[in-house]
Amino acid sequence: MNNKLNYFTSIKFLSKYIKKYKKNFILFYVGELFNALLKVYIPITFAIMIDEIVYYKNISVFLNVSLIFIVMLLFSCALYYFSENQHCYLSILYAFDIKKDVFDNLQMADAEYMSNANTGDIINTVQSYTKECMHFVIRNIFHMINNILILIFLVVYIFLLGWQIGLLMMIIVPLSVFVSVKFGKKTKKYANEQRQNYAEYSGWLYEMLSGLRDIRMLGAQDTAKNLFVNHQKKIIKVNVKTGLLSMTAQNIITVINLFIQLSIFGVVAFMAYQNNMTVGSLTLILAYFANMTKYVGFLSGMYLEAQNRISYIQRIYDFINVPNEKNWYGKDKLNVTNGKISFKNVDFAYKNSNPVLSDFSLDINADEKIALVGKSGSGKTSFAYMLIGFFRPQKGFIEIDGQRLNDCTLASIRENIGIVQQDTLLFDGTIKENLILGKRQATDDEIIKACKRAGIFDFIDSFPQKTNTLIGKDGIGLSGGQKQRLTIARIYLKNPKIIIFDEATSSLDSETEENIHKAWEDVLVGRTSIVIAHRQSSVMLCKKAAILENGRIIEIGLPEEMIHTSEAFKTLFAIKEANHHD
Amino acid sequence: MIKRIKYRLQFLKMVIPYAHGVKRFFVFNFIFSLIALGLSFITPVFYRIFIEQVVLQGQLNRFLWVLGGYLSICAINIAMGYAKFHGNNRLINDTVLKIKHKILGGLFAQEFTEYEKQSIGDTKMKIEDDPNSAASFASAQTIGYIIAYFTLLGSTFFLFYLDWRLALFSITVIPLAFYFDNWISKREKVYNEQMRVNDQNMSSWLHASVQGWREVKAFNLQKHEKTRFVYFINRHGKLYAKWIHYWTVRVLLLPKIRDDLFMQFGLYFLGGILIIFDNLKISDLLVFSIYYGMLSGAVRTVSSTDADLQAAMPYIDRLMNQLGKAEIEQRNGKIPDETNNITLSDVSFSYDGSDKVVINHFSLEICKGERIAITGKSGCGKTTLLKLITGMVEPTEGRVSFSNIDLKDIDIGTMHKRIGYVMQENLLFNTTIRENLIYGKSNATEVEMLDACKKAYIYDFIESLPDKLDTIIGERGIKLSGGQRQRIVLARLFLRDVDIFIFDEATNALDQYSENIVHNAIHSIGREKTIIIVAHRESSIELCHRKLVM
Repeated sequence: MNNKLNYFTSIKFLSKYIKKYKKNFILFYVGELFNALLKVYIPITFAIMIDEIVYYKNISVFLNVSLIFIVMLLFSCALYYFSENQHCYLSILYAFDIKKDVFDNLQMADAEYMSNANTGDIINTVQSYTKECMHFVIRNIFHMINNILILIFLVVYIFLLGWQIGLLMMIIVPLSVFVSVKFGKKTKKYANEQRQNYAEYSGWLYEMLSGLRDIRMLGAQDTAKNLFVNHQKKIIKVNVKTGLLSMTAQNIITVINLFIQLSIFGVVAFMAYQNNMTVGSLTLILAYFANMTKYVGFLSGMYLEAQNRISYIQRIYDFINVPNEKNWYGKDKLNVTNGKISFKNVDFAYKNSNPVLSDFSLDINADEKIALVGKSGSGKTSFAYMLIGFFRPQKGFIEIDGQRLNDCTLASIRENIGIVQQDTLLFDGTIKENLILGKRQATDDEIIKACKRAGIFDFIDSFPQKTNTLIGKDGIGLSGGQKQRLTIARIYLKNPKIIIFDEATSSLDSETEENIHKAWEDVLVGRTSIVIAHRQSSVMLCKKAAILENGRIIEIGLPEEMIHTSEAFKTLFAIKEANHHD
Repeated sequence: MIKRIKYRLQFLKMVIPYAHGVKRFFVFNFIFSLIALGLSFITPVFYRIFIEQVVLQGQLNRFLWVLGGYLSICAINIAMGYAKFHGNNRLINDTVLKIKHKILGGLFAQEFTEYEKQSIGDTKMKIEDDPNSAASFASAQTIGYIIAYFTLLGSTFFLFYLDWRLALFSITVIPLAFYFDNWISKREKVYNEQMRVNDQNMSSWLHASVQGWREVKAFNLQKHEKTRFVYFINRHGKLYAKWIHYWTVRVLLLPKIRDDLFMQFGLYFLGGILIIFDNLKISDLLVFSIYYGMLSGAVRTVSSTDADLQAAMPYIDRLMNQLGKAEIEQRNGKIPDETNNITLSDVSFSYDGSDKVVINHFSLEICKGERIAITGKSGCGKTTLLKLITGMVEPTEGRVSFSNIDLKDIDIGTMHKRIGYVMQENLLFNTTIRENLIYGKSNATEVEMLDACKKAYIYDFIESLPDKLDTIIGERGIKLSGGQRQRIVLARLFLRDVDIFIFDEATNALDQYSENIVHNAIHSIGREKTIIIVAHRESSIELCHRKLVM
């Protein structure tokens, strides 16, 4: 799975997508090829024109050549237009196919991957890296082939004009390859250093700027200023080094080119002296010489570019191959009638790390309310995630009303189980858009009823646009309590038989907390409920409490009793004996 | 054009003080550029000698002249290139660093209320991207711009000198080409802008969708999200298909017609006819095309320099604005004595543009060594009270004083040096523990650091790490629990040796176990220090002598 792509495997990977648009790619290539030919043809025209006027004074040949040139130029303009249309068509559709595959995989990617994924990275993969797949085909396949063809043509033509000059020009290719490889390595090293420095610096800068106020309160302005100057100096130093290096490389190439140009001058002068050379040919040779340096430069540049692009394509390739939920083979529809849940000897561990749950068994009866408590890392969230099919047990099994979870489809599992995080995410959009996530085809009446039950109706009603009021980035801001109530309304709409409530770790003031608990109490009625509790008051909402430690349940009982009898419970919630107080 | 030149001068006037000590490099570079320009006018002369005298007339001995000419011009150019490189680096790096330093100083001196209004992205622009835009003024926007005009004039002169008819023809082509280019760019821009907006919207939607993957999965929203995805791509495709027409004409067709048809072919065609019927020399025609290349290059430089300026203007405007602000001197306040008591007399406060009075005629005195707990439900003004005490906001009515000096007149920096402020989320850099502690005391010794860690009950944890104080924490290193973070923050605070400790819901996000440890640390703070705790948990309030319910 961890295949490293190279030039050819990249092409192979992309060919799956290219095939579909073979015809367009070929048409596009033909257009590009003709334009490449025209580029080498132009200097020949001018050479003929010059020789006609300088040596032969033949006006009619001169005019004919001119006419041919104009016709070809206009034709090439038309061709450009045509081939760019192909290009446009391809970069929309071909790139779309790739984007679609990436996006499908994004949606199917398994929960473990998603919880560790970097959002910025994923966005880049979808939006930018897919574009590189188009550039790769055009620049690193088509243009590369054309450039090589042109170079061969130039060399052959010049040899035909005069082998001495041909030999002379052949020096340029290995020389510039040598120089660019030699400097390329060093430049790459510096560029890496530069990038690293800059990444380090900008990471630091972001942190520092976000803490400007803290730094002032720490009285550490001077420390921050000194560090700032040090960072800057480090960057400047490498920048100067890099600049100097690329300038030297440039100079060496300039000097080499000048020597070759002057040698060509010498040979041309000598050949002209022997009447073997014309001014037209001279201009042609000079033009080809300039082109040749340019194309050699292009080729080496393209090689470097290709390396970068391959790494982008690699990202896409890897992304398409990340573990995903397609491996979930359950076919049955989960049918929850009572809501009885049982975990039987379940083992679970994240990749390459310690077990989270080991030999975990727990039965939750229909309509029971149970609180799961324990220090962070004890496996509470993993338990919840397994129940909604984000994670799969590595050993043992989970049953709901006698149906094995592994045999059911993910969609049906998630339809029947509601999970709510206290600091839940609301999408930028209208209130309604956020609410109907619970039930896509909810009617306005249903929405209003749900809002009333969640105690948020009056708030929504106070806005002129009611449920169409925007929330989030461009809309109104919501307090923690209001968000909570929207989430509750959403749950009423979804109306699942089983509900998981993952409480937030940060605390609210006691009045808000009490209000929220009241609203929750109503929601939990008639459902099997699992509350992942961080606060004692939330545990008290439940009839039963289970204490998790190291992936196992160490105690289970009635919360009212555990307050007095369970040592683990007391440490967890720092319950002090009444007489211990000083 | 005049407007742009004025703009350039205005900006230069502002940044020249920052170039103190490196101004001479500007003069050197200008002289070097002038010499380089002169040399580029001379080069075609040698080419002409080569064509006319060596190739056509066969005077092979003249070839040595040509050789000497080309080589010496190249040598001079390379030598000057290095000198210019050095000068430019000194000029840019010194000046820009000074500017950045100044802006950073300004950021530290601004009103506290400003920090909440600014996004970090914006602030980063101010200190990084905006000053960097000044770099182009070291050469491209100034020397390069002037030299381009000189080139323009010089090459025009040579063109007319060589042949006025050809010159007239070729010069008319240039403005025509630019006119068309502009005309198309304007249309292209419309679609460009729409595509940018679409891309941006797509990014922010995608961001929300990726971040909300749990919701997407738990609510089975895959289809819904995919529809959005296809919508954005579809819209992009439609815009792109319209945009590509203009782009093709501007980037591919126009240059082809301008360069290949008019500049090269047209020139050779007319030149050829002139040679046949009017005895124009072929060498003149070839030299003409070189000067013509210089002319069109110069025109391009002028217009691209102007376009760059236009693009950089938002940055430069902000930079000028920022530098103007930084110029305002920081006030010199009174230095408070060691009394360190805090007095609020009849203070009221409401936020700008809000009718709601957050603090209403409130008086309070906190004496040295006192431990006071402030409690109340959220929104009752606890944090605002702390902001008033620390001078982050000014009271709308009444008076806040520290050591009996009104905060309006006090040297706020000195006061802040005596206050340690711990919030729910505190700044810890994603670097080593040691570097974080250094922000408490820049010259702290190893012993002092470890001592502070002991006092904050984090010593044992640090000792258990393989790299001890040099352990990297945060994103790139080990992840700390909330309790561990707060204890490192406390250690940093203990290093500072402050007189007043303020804990603003500092243990809120901790589980009760970690909270206990932090409370123990707070408990061990010396009795002569003042402690103010804002909290709503009973356990935090128990640490104090006095409880204030708001």
